[in-house]
Amino acid sequence: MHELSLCQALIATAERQLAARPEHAGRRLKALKVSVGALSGCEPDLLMHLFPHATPGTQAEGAELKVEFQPAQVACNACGERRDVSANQLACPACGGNNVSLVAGDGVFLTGLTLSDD
Amino acid sequence: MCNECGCGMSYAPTSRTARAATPAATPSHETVVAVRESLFGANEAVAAQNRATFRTHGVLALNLMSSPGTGKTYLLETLIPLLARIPLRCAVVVGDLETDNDAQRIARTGAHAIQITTGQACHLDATMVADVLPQLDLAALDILFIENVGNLVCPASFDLGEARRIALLSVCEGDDKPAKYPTLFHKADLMLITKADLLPYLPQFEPARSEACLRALANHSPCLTISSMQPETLAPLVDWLVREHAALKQPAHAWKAV
Repeated sequence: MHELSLCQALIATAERQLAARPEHAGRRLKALKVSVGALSGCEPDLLMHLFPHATPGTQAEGAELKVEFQPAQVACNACGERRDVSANQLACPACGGNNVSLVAGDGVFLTGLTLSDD
Repeated sequence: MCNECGCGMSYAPTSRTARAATPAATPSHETVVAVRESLFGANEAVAAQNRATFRTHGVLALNLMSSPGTGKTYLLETLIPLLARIPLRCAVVVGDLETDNDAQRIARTGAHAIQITTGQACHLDATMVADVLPQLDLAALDILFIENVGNLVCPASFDLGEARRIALLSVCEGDDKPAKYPTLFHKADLMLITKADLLPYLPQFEPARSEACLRALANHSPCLTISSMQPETLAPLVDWLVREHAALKQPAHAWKAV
């Protein structure tokens, strides 16, 4: 999809989060953790590949990108089961019903920043 | 003592120097800050503004998404005159990489049509739509069709501020497209199987299979089989549009928030 622009959005988001935490001023951004959903339209491998090309001149330069894949997860409104499912089979694996709510796996989120003193 | 990583050293530059002398014996002085912020946040913020603008004016905004060549433009050319009889006043924003051919075709129906030429961009985003809204007289509109760039991948990830998403699939394609492009189809509020007049020549396409793929995405939205060449097949679609437009006037209308 648009992994390079997502990398740029990721870095801008991280820089904004850091600016909002003056207690960490001067520390080095060592790693960024991202959650990529199965139904987000974002390809984790491409994100990893492009990230180093987006970081030069930013606070994320030299930082490591840690990508966590978030499978599609549904909560069944009929039987209450909550489970990971494949992206194109969203019906409830327990009861087979398709009255489910997608509770995870449809977004791309910055979830963590590792800051270091060195 | 350090409150952050539990390394037992005071949180001060001197201790960092001391730790550097014996790096193997002490853990690195690091902090993990937990955050949770969507990387689509910038687009979503503009989409929310668009949605509020549409709601203020009582305009039903519809995002039409499909691969190239499903007949989105021809459908609008046929549909808009049918809606004018109700009467529902329509305008169209249409995205393409190049040319304003589609806008010219739609303008012949009398509807206001605005072409967004995206250059090499393969989808519309909320800002592109926001940029053209001042050209539209929203107070004189009932329905705004936003014809996205023909593409089943990227448009799915960009909320435009629409109230409803319509996914189109023509019978010239594989009938299992919803299973292949779940990101786009699972969010569709209506699926249209188009060019149904060609079904007698394409026995390998089974509309029931497309619908089964849509249901496997836990999507309960209506699925209509239509042909713009046979305007009578558009009646259920016209009914759907009338209902959705009427629902806008209800205070309890669930505006789509993506």
